[in-house]
Amino acid sequence: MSRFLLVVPPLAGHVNPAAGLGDALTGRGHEVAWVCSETFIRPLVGPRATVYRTGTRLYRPLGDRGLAGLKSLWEGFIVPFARFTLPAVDRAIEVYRPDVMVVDQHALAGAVAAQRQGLRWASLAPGSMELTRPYRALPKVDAWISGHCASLCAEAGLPRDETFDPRFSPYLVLACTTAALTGGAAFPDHYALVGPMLAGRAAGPDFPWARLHPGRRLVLVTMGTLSAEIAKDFYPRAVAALQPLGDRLQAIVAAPEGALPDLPPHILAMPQVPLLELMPHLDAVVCHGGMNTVGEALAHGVPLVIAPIRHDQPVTAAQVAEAGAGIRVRFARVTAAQLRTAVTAVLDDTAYRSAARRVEDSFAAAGGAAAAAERLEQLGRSPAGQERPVSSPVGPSGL
Amino acid sequence: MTPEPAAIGPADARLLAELVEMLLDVTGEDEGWAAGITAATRLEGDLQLESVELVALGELLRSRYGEGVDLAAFFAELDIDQIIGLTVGDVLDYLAPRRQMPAHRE
Repeated sequence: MSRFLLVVPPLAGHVNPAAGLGDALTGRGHEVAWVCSETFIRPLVGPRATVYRTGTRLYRPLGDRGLAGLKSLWEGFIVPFARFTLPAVDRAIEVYRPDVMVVDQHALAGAVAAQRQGLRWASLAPGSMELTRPYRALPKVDAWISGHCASLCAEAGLPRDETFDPRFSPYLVLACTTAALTGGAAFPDHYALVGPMLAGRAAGPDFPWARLHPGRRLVLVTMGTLSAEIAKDFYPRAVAALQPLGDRLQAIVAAPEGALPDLPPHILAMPQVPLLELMPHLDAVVCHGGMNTVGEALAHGVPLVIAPIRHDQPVTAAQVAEAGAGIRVRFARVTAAQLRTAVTAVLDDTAYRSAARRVEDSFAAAGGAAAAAERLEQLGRSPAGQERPVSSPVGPSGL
Repeated sequence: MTPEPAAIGPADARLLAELVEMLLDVTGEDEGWAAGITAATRLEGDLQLESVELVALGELLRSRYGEGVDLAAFFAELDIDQIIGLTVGDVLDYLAPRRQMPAHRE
C-alpha cells in the first residue's frame, strides 16, 4: 500500500482523467489524497476523500485563440496558479506525507514542491499539447514556455538545472493517449502512454432517453466547458448543417440554455449532457478537440468531426485526422454545408468508424487508469537511490 | 513588426493584392472579407488564420515566389508577441526582398 498525492488544476479536462486514476489507485488498495479546488474535485471523488484545498482560481479564457490563447493560458493561468497553490501543496506534503505524487502538467506547483522535497513524482498529461511539443517549429515560443517554467523553479528556490522541466517528471510521465494517435513519435521508457482514464465521472445529468429513436443515427455536438462564449456562433452553423438531415439522424447539442431557439424536432439542445452514458449510443461526435471528449469518443469507437479552437485542440484534431478516425474542419470558417459534408462522411464512410475502432483497440490494449496505477505502484516500490536520470521531453515536431 | 502601418507604393500594392488572393485561396472566404485587408491587418487577431491555413499559405508563397520565401523559417525567428502582432504588412516586408519575379519561374 502506498500513499499518493494528486495535484490537479480546476479544469474539467484535467480533473476527469485524474479522478479515473484516483479510482484505480484506491481500487487497488492504495491511499489517495488530492490538492485541488474543492468545488471541482469533490463531486468526482465523493464526501470521504481527502482534499487539500487550494481555493478556486478559475481560468477564464478570453476570446483568444492561437498564440494569444497560448499566452493567456500561461500568463493568465498556469503561472499564477502555480504561485497561488504552492503553499497549499507544501502543506499537503507536510501533513499527508505521500510516497509518490502525481502532478498534472499544468499544475506546476506540485512538480516544484515534489522536487524540492526530494519526493518521487509522476507527470500526468491529459492533453496532447505538452506531450508532443507542438511549438518546436517556433523555437522562441518554445523557449518562452521553458522560461516560465525555469522562473517558477527559481522562485521556489530549486537549484538551477537546465535538464529539469516541471512539465515532465524524470521518473514517470503518464499520458492519456496511445501511439495510434501520436503516430511514430518515440518516447523514452519512463513515458507510459496508457490511453484515456475514463472512470470516476460524477453521475450525469438527467437525459430524455425516451426521445431517442432507435432507428436513427445519433450525433452529439459539444464544444467543451470553457468554450461556450467563443463557440456561440459555431452552434448555429452546426444546427444549420444538421437541419436537413432529420430523416436520417437525431442530434444532441450541448449548448447553453436559450442559445438555440426554434430547433427542429430531431435536434435537442441542453446545457449539460451525460457524455459517458451517451457514448455507446453515438454514431458521430462533433467537437472542439478537447482530449477528454476525443478520448471518450474514440474509447467507444465513435468517429469525430473536430473544429479545434485553441491550445492542444489543433494538435489533437490533426492526430485524429491522421489516424483516419475523423475529419478536421476550421472552427472559425467552416460553413454549414461543409460541416454537413463532414458529418455525412464520418457517418456513411465506414473507414472512419473502422479507424476509430482501431484507436479504441489501442486504448483497450494500453490499459487506461489500471495501467497507470500499475506504473505508479512500481514507482512507489522502486528503491530510493535508483532514480532515473533527469531527461528532457522528446516528441515529434508538431504542426 | 512595427505597429504603424507604412504607406505602401504601387509595387507593394500589387504584392498586397497577390497576398490577399492567396489568403482567399487558403481560407475560402469571400471578396467582402478580403476587401477589409490592409497592411495593418493582423494575421492572428483579425484574420484568425489557423495553423493549417498558415501552412497552406506558406506552400502557396513558396510556389509563387520561389525557394527564397520560407514562411515557416520566418515564423521560427519570431517571439510570441511578434507572432500575435504579426500584420499583413510584416509579411509583405518579408516577401518583397526575397521573392523571385514570376518571369524567373518556369
